Amino acid sequence: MARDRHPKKELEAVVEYAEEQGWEVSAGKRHAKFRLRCPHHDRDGCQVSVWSTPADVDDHAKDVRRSINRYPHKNEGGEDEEV
Amino acid sequence: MKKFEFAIIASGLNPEDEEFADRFYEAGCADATLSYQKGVIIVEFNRKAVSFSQAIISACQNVRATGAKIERVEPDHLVSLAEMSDRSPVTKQALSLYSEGKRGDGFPNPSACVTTRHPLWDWSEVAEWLYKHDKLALDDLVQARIVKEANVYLECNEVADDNFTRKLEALEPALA
Repeated sequence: MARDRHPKKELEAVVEYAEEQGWEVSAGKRHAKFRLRCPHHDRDGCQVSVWSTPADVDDHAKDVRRSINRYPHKNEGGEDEEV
Repeated sequence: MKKFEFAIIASGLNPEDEEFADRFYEAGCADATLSYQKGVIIVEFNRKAVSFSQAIISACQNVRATGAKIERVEPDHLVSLAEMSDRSPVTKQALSLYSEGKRGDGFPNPSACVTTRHPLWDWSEVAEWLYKHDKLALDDLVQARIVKEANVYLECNEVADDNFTRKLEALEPALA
């Protein structure tokens, strides 16, 4: 079944970006419109919440995207993180 | 009011709980992005406040109201050369020369992981040095001191209380 769309286009774009990266999108309860879960479902699995009405849509969109990009298994097998 | 970006790292709540995210929103974290990564809760704020200390204090109160335990505030005060370079206009190469004493004078010694290939510095000490050498703004130095104080306090105390508030506020430059 198709999921709801986020009414804020900036946040809908980030949710679509998460889906492209293989993240699972599920509906939240009250204030969290969506719960995004990374493809690595174990103890190290990541999740990010997307609010229905954040204090600032642009800040929230930027930070959700940053969280997705920080996903530790994103570059698995790739180069080591620089220390 | 200015907007301050920082993160609070917390633990003690189950991210699989249905109410997990709503608790944070209802506790006043609508200006934060909530994630769970590497086994910890990360609450990244974009908080409007009169000062950095007030932003940190109010955010800690909000996170604590969810029932979570606050572990620390980030950007952490322990930093690598690469991270120092990200936080200042100075290149990693220049920082490396300063740290080896090949350029400049009196650069702080590393504070942690000193016996490893990648030691860590105390950002508040480095910020102090960079500020004295006109390579960092006063605001950045004040924020470095406040984060350090917050993390030292949180390491030794169960919760952020009135004493925490006083200690952080004391680090703000006097308001004109």
